[in-house]
Amino acid sequence: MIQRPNTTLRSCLPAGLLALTVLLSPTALAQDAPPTPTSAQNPMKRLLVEAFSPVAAQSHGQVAAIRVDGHHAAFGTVVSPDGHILTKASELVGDLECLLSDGRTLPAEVLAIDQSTDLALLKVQANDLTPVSWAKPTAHAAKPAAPVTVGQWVLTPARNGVARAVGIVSVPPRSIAKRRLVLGVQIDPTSPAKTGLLVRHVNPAMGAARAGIIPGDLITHVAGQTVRSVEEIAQTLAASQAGEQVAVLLKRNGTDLELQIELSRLEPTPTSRTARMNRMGTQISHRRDGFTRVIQHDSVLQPWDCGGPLLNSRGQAIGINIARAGRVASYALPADLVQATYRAMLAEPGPAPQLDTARRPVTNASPDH
Amino acid sequence: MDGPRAAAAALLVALLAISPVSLAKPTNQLADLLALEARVQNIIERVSPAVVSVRIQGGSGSGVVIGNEGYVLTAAHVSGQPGRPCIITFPNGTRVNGISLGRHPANDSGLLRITDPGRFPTVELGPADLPEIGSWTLALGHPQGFQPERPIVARLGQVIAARPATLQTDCTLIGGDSGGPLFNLDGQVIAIHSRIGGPTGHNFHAPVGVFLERWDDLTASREVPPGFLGVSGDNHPRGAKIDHVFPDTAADAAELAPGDVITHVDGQRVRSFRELAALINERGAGDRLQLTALRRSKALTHTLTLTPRPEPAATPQP
Repeated sequence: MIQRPNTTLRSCLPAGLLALTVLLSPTALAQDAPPTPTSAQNPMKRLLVEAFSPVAAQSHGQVAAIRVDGHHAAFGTVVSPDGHILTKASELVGDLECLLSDGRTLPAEVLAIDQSTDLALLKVQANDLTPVSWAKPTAHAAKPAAPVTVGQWVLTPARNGVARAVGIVSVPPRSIAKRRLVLGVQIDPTSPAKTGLLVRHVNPAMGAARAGIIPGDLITHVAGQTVRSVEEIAQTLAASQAGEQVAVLLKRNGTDLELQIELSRLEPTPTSRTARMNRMGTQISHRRDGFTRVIQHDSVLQPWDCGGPLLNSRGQAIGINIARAGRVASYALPADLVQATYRAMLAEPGPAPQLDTARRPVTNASPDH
Repeated sequence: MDGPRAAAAALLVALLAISPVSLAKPTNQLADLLALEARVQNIIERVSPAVVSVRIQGGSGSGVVIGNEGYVLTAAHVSGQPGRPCIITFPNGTRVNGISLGRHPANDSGLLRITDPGRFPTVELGPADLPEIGSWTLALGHPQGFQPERPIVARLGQVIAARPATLQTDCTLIGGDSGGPLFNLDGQVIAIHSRIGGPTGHNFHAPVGVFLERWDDLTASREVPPGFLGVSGDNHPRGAKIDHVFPDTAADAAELAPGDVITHVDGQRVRSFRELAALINERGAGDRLQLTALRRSKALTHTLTLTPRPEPAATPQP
């Protein structure tokens, strides 16, 4: 039977009406329940996954499960026989292990991180691995570099060679702009810059509120820089990543105070209806923007399903899943971009990579088969 | 409402029995799915040019152009009240002016018309009959609003449940998709995106049947008022039991009486009073429906026409 009516889908409605719609909706309020595997939410998808099992099984051996401090955090894509595994960098915080398809659990070392793709190159001590087989560019002369077509099937295999999700390509490869980073405060535009920027309002869902900033505080420095305007705060934060902590110096009742504030990405309105809808039935990846090229597909993934290969219906990898971006969208880096990034990582191992340290702990307890 | 497990079991049975592209067929099921891939790609290419973005009074949604008169199907909560101007944008960037015509808020069907001259890409309307459970569906639209650098966003799924004025699929939707088209695998529009629930399988669409049923009202820029049956009641093991019939209502005219147990509305099984309310609440005044009710264990069929809801004084019951 069809469930009770819910949330309507226009992108913008008067605020009062929205609140009412969502409040009246029991299903919408149930969204904070623990995530349910897709197959349990939807028996149709389970049948689909089963039908594709012979294709997904071809990836057996090519997908690893990445564990952080003993908990499943992501999948990994085996890219060389001698232990190179690519995965989603921003999901890694702590001691890394790779669980291979044959059951071996090996400690992993981070060789390189590429911020633009959010890929991390891991190395495990093994020399008998099966690398993923990349889809070859089609012979189609018009699109030599795009073995990706809207509407084609895509599979996300788990470590055991069983599809985690099946979907189609929704949008051909395109770039995803980086959203601005913010502290989560509203500055009084009339406040004189000399005494500091007056905080008029604190967004309860963002870093500033969690760090204890309150209305009336006067912000003088962000990340060691003097700030005299909202624009200067934005400039100071331009090179940072969401989730990073920055030092904010402020004056409260004449006393200097230094707080560490976690940066958030700017949402249309952080607790907006869109943001809420995007989390309905799914959780979304922390890092999900600022990519030069991604394939958007409709597979229902969870953030910890990223990092592994995205296969076409012939079992060849057309990319690596890199983000769960919202209720209707998962992103994968196209194969050619992944291969180019991998080559660059091998060519320039660079200084010892820094993992993002200022991250929330890995909280999910998802099975990692 | 039944537990999810019971619902899942029922769905599986239905799928095995009637799914047109059967996933359950033990032989060459993968071959079926591979054949489907080419068909889906072909349909997306063919129908996308007619899928539009609609900007109207500060809101934005989706829509689809049908026929040669410039009609655009959308959701009632996108089109709003009749007579509002709107801007309609095609995937190739062409922008034209339009106006909102009629709507039927109870089932969320709405109609616009392009007012600029010209010929525009169109799609075909599908049959008014409800699709079978398990049928493949393709959802197109502009999730989170029109983005110039992003083409139409495609999602594939299947029909999970269907009742006369609502389809449920697992094509994931979000704000901005409202009013966008749901296609069958013949490339025909079978429904318009309307609303979502929490789980990713809770995506609801208004079937084309509800547009066709009140087409004259929609094209004549009329707002269809919600329909009113005129009973109050409670759950009953066999359906919805009537406790009270309000005078001068559809129920009164059809001579429904306290104690009657409504078991079906238009052939659709009713399992609780809430289900009855859900079925009636998405119909309009003037809609005719067939209702089966048990009176002293005997099933009687009533044909009735829903009246408009009386002015506020009356108790708000379906």
